[in-house]
Amino acid sequence: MVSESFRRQLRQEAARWQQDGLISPEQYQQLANRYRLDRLDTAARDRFIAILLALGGVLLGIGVITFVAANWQSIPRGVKVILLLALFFGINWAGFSLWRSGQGTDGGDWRQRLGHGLLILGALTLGATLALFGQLFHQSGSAAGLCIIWGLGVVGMAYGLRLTSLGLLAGLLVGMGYWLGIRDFVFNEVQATGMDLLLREMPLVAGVLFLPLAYWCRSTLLFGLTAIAVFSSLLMGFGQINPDWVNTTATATVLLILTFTLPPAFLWAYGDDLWLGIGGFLRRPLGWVGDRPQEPPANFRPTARDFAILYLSIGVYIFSFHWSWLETTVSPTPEDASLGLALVAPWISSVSLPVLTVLLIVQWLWLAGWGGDWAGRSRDSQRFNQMDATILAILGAIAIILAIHWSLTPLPALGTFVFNGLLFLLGAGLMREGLGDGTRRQFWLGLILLTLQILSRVLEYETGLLLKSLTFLLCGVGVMAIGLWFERHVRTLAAAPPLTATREEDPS
Amino acid sequence: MTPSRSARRAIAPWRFWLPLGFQAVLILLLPAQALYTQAVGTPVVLQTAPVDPYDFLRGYYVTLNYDISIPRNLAELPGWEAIAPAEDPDNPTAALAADTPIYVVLEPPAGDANRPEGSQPAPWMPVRVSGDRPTDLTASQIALRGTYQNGRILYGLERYYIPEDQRQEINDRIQAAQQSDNPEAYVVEVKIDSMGRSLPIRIWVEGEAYRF
Repeated sequence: MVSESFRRQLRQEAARWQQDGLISPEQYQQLANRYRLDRLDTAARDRFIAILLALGGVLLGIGVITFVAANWQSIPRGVKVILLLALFFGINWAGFSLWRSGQGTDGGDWRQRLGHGLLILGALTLGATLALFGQLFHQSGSAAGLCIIWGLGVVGMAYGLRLTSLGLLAGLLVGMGYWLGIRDFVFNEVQATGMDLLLREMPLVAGVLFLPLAYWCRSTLLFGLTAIAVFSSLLMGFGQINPDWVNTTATATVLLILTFTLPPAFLWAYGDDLWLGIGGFLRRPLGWVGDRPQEPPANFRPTARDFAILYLSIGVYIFSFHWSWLETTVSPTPEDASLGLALVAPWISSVSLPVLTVLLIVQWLWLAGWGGDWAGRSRDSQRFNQMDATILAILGAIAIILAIHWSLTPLPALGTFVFNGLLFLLGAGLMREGLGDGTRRQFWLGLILLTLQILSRVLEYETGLLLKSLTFLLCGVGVMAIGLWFERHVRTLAAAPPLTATREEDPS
Repeated sequence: MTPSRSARRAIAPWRFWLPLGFQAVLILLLPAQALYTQAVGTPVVLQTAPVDPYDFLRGYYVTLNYDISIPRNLAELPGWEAIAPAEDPDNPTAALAADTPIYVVLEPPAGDANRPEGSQPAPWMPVRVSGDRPTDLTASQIALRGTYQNGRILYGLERYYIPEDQRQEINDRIQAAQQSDNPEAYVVEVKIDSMGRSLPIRIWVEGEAYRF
């Protein structure tokens, strides 16, 4: 599916081509039919109406929730319960009927959009109803558990109706429940039974709940939300580890290294074909293929890789500061460190960490071509290439340097130097890739990284100005030398026949 | 949001009804148990301290703290030694792990049967504690189930939701009752079922009952 901005541009250009006589009116019509240029304006209007109706649903839902919270006594308990249950079933049913009846039409009509808004309102009414019963029976549990149960209910409806909007709402609810629960956990508040288990295993729970939904809805937004949920909750567990323990216990070292390498490694190796294969394998006994097998499946790898690069950049940037290598000055006794690890043990001994680690290895093996064409690995799927090797080398370098620094001998000078080198490599590599592929985002991320690196180094070192000046001079010469070498390299590439078929046939 | 395809089949109704049924189960799960406790539970009165925090979903509530929420008060009762063998008398919960169940056996106050209808009841007295659900209770006794968490014992009776428009009045009265010399001016009536599960029913402040 081409983007809307491309279609708008195409409409403008095609009209000009027709004016200039480059294409005939019939050809213009063919283009217009192929890219549905006539529907561009109505599509924008329809989407605006859909957003307004959904927003109205959200506001009405908040109104209902606030009404419950007011605990107004003029309405007897029984009437309140019946009213809210009737509202819950009525709104959901009306929403579903409208949504369904408007579905067959091309692009959906007003009924589908209004139905969609009502379904969102229905999802919020579910929360209001849950809250009402909690209030009537004076339940002591915090709002965290309530949000998670509510989110589970909404995720069910999102699967049933394949609605991205409900999936996102469910993701936000589960996320809200998770962070409220963490706050209660930190402040030692009342927890519902099983809540601590849920908080601990949130990386797995979020993955199992939302990754299939992202594929089912073919929604990149849902995939992004899933990735954030899985890895932020995983880091929440790692975050409890005190860096001061690393000199004394190997476990803490391994866990801290995993903090910096596991998320980017996992996301970089993320393979849609592997996950779709697993999904198909699990679905096969049910004999169910879904209702849109003719459409191409979702492709989340680019998004996963964007996340991986972003995570990697932030990690490497933190370690490019000299102070981050001097922090571990306090060395507690081994007993103190073990005691500390024992305190965070419930967090790090969760099942999620080993499962994610195994999946990480499986994904890299799959990327390296293992597993053959199991589950119909798409033939054109990307195989292990130079880029994968580079990322793997960077991750390996991070792991090795951190391991030596934290468990053998501190490497303040070498560590700072290597991570600055890695940061430069990342920034320059991103700019190069971005220019090569014409992807603006990569180019700008690379440029921001390089600028940040230079600015940070200028501001970080205030003494040894002669040395600082020398370093910058050497770096400047080095960068120019690389640029010139690259220029020559490209020219040799261009001169070397045969680069591409078209180049070969070029008469000049 | 919803992808559009003209050649799209109408969605099967079960794909709506199944999740809706699941949501209905989630809604009814909580009241089902609470209704059971409320219907068959024994009314019990507990000695209770208040603030009025706000929960964005369920509104304002009174935080209830009971005499039996404080481990020190229970450590003097028979049976505590078996739950948490005390090495240090000043720290009776040292041996307790989080989520340890604690059953508190309660007995009605003397003369409770002769209390005039509608007057404020006196609180029940804890007589012993146990780690397992006691089966040898006398006819008047009842066991209340709690769990140990972070230096307190929680019974699921820690919140009483109140209407927004009456919260000032209720708070003022509770404060007055707590400043008075009579600690029994502020008690909570709860219901406890045979499994020890409990539900707050009403709060009594200086002779007046509030039920929401």
